[in-house]
Amino acid sequence: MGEIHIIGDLNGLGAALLPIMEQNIDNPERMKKINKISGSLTATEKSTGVAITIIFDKGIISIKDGPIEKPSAALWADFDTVAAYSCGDLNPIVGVLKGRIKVRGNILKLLKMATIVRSD
Amino acid sequence: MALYPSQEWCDAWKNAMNNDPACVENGKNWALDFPGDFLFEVTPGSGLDKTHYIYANIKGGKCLELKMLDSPGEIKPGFYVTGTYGDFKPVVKGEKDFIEGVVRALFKLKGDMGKIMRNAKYIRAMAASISSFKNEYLGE
Repeated sequence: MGEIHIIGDLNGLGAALLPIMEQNIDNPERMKKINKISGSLTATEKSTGVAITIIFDKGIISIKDGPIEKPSAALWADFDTVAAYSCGDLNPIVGVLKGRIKVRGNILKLLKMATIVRSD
Repeated sequence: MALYPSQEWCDAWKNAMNNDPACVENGKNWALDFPGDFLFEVTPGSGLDKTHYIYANIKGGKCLELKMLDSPGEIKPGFYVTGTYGDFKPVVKGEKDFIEGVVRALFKLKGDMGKIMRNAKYIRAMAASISSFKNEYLGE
């Protein structure tokens, strides 16, 4: 069984997403794409400004409270949008096009990295 | 007006949930195949002198039971929410959003977070129903 490294104390956004990440790390099909990635993804909940950063280091995945200075990619969305994405109800491209998700940085990498918090 | 927290308040919230179309519609799949009951641990402060426990048994969008408990006892709820009275009070008044409190970690929510994420609309509706009636509060 894989393990997500937790750096420091997690905020509520991180605590909500962590169980999904823990399920995914045991999913070889999902991890096939993620294992090759080195980079970081900062996700910020829009209404509160609460952020987490997920760090990918070729199969070693860590999560920490708050943003980092220069993530590979960053996204902003409200909790309901994060929830809809994470349970597979929202296509991320549609989310971006409709303005529900704001993104910055390496978008292709972001789309790959974000699958770690998707449970479909 | 009911005093929050009290059994009278529990009865009023149960009534509000069961008569709220948003709760009934968005919660129709809630807890059909998983334990979806909630235990709220309200810790002291802001006028509350000791920890209070509120148990809500909810299934298919309907609240079956909502009651005050002296202690959690043998109950193993699907979801366990902890927060201070000072943090719960603005949610009950409708001044603050419950989900926002969870994201900010003012409330600790234990349970299957996948179910919470999948049913975020229902959780929001349930939390909104809590502020749909007027109450009295300790410490005011």
